[in-house]
Amino acid sequence: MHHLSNNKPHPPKWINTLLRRVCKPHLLEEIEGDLEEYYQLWVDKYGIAKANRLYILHGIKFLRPFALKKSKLKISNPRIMFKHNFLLTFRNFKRYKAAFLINLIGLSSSLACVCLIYLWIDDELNVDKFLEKDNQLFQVLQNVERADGIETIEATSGLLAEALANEIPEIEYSTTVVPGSFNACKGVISISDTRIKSTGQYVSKDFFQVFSYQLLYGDKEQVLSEKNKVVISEELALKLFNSTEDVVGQTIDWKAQDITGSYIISGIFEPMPSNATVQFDLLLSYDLFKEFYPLSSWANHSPHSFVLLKEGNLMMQLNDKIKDFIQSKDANVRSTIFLQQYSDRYLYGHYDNGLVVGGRIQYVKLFTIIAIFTLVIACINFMNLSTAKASRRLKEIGIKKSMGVKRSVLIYQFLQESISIAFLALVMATVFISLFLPQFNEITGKQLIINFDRETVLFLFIITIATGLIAGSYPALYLSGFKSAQVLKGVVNTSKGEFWLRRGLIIFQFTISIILIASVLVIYKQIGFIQSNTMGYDRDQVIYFSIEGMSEAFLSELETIPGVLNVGGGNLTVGNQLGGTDGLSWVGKDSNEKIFFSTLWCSYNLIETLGMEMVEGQPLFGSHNQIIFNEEAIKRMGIKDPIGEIIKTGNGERQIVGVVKNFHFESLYEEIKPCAILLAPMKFAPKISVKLQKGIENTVIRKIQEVYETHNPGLVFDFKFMDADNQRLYESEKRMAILSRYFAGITILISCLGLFGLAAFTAERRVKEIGIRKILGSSVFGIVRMLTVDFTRMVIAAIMIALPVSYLIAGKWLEGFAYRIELEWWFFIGAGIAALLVAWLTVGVQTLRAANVNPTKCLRNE
Amino acid sequence: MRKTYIGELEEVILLTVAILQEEAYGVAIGLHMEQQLNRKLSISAIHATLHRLSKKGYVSSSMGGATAERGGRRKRYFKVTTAGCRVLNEIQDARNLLWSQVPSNALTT
Repeated sequence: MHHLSNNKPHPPKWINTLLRRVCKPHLLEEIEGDLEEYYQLWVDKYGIAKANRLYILHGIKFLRPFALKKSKLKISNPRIMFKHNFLLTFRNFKRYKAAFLINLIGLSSSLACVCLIYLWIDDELNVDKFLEKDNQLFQVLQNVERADGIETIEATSGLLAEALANEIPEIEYSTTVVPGSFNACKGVISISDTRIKSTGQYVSKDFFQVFSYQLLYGDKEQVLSEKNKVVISEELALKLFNSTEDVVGQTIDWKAQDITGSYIISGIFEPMPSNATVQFDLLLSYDLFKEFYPLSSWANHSPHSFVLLKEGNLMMQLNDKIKDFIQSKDANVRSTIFLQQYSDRYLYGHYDNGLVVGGRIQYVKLFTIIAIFTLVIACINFMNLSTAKASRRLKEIGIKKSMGVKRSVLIYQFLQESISIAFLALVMATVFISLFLPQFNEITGKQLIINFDRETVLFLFIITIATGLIAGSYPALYLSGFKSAQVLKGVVNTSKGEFWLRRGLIIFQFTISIILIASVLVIYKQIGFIQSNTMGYDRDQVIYFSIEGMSEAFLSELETIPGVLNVGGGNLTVGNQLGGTDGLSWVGKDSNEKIFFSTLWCSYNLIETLGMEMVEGQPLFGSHNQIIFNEEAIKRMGIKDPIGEIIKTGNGERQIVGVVKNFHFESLYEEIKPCAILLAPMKFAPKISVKLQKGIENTVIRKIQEVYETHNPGLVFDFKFMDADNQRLYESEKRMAILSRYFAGITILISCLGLFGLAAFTAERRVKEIGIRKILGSSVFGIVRMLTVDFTRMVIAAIMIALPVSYLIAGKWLEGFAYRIELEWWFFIGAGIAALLVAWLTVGVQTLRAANVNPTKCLRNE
Repeated sequence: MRKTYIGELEEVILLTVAILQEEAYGVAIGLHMEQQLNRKLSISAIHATLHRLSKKGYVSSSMGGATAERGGRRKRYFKVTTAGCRVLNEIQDARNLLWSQVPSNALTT
């Protein structure tokens, strides 16, 4: 504790307060002492944030029987009391079936929601965490200065990783990874007659030192030591050789665009867990890649770089140290680098102005909140119903009290009741979960299973007990507080406070429900908007597929197929970041200015195939020294009359032949950026886009497939529809939308269940009043109105609160999109009216029945 | 006589107490198990087990002096009692007996 002794970090105090309150005093000193000592060890090892978390966790774990104070609750015969309470609980359930069912359904469906969300969150939080040395594994990200702010990109210079490992002593290993997406299409592996498509990654030799993927065969230091070595996945080995034995040492042929050759299998790695973000089945050597694409400049942005730090908390200090690393190599490159923990990138993958601003973690937070709210709403139902029906238990309470039962014993009894119903609900919830888990998996796109391991069981247990305690706490305090003498006389003075509390709870329930409904509406509208957006090009009836070394013959045959309207080539895939360059110059360029142009390589006809509009000039034709810009690029460059201007690129000059109307080549989260369109040799534009005639798409596709297969024997023709691709881009939003719709549905359902119960109860209690009113000439409608007006007021109050809140939330969410819908008033009013209608419907059924009662029957006995 | 059983975790912790001699207190036991057996236990689990052991009479404990690193709190040191020694020996003997009866080829992996 040497250097820290003056300024030691302090563990969270509230844990100590908690322990002091509940633990046996004579054990306290050693418990606190050991925790404190461990805490200092953790701080040194993991840093303060994690140490605090561990401290809380381990502190809470001390709440177990041996350490807890003996409770003051003295029950002379606990076993009999326990049994007796159960009996009473059981009888109560049997007697008041409606209330029991409402509580059970409400609690169990909310528990089921909570459990599903728990499973989902647990999975999300563990993505990529399976790697050993996870807390030392970092990705190097690059902040690039652009005219409109700093952009954070994954791609780094191909020289970076190696240089970092050589020059920075804190870095133990580093690796350069050219991701599978670098090649616009999959490569082809072949051995004798078998040909298989595969996404190959090119990685430098320390890959397996940095990433702890397990090798079945091969030594992690050696498998990638030479450029003719490849490592394949177990699955691929089985596909190619039907076994994993004796595969090492075999030769495979690999062809992906320019890179072709025969390589020797030097290792096989185990299948990756499903919660790994990057899935690949073939690893080739980065040295090999460099032969074909010598990425030898610091300005180049292509491969990804990963580093494994030495032990200890080095990240912070290292970030300062390496910030200007690239500039120290090449002063012309205006970018800085920083480290982000690899496993954090999945949840914290959005950047703004060079800083991490969140990402999927927002969904995790959102669903945590939803889970808590559903549970709270169900608990509120329980509270409301049990306090409203207090009158039914008055005699029991009164008699018990007059016999000398202490208040604490009564509290214990009611809590036992609520906890037992919570456990019953848990049983039902488990049934629900096992029923709905497959659908849930489909919606979320995960492979979740419930395995009852210790953590899950502990979670279920704690959440159930907590639900029981929360739901039962207020009724227990309330019911046990009655004065026996008054109760037995039948006088219950319900205080104003209690009346308002119940209303407040209902208002709260409905506020939450309305917020959820409004949010779901907004999410749906936005996603619909995105999907109907034309993006600036026409992607209907356009399919695209990658080509693996195909000939002119294939292309010309393709064009002759009837129903094929247009054939174009190019690397445009919807929504992916394109590569680019800031190395263009032109007459009149401000020498300080750096504009980053995304580059779209295409062959003839792509612009026509996608139906992009030309503002000026014409699409590409003829020679290779032509270039087309989008409007945004021309605006940024400040060229008045672009057609015919000469642009200097890194390796020559090109002439502007046209300006294309702005189109979205990235997702709608992004603003339209400057883009340059260049005529590409086939190898840079390895995708073929085909516009099909509407109506006969399927026949045309079948024809194309035949042609493809005759030209590429053994390969599977896999194509994609461009509009389907566009939908995939917003898949996670869509999934969230569907999920939140279900959860919103469930919350409103549970809220209504509560309302239903209360309405039934009120109607029942006022049955005599209704009888008298009817005799005196009140109409059915009048009675319905009388009974409904109170509930209506509450729902309207909820609407008042919910509207501004949901407006704020929706506005915040939409800010993330560069292109978004306007918030319309009717989204919110609509949500409010929907809630009101549902509430009326719920209450209406009950009140109508009450209003139609025959007065002679209800007034007959007193 | 009611036979007192001893669980696996109890046995391991009891042994660790015996190993650490004068230095056997919560944190030291935890760290020793982590280093030697690569077995991470929560602190409360260690405390609970020690508590059970002392209830069964296999360890005795006493408070040490205050130390700065624990914010002035004292440590509770544990010692294996005679009963504890006996139970450890009994376990060892029982194991040895059974091991000696295992045929030589039965457990080769």
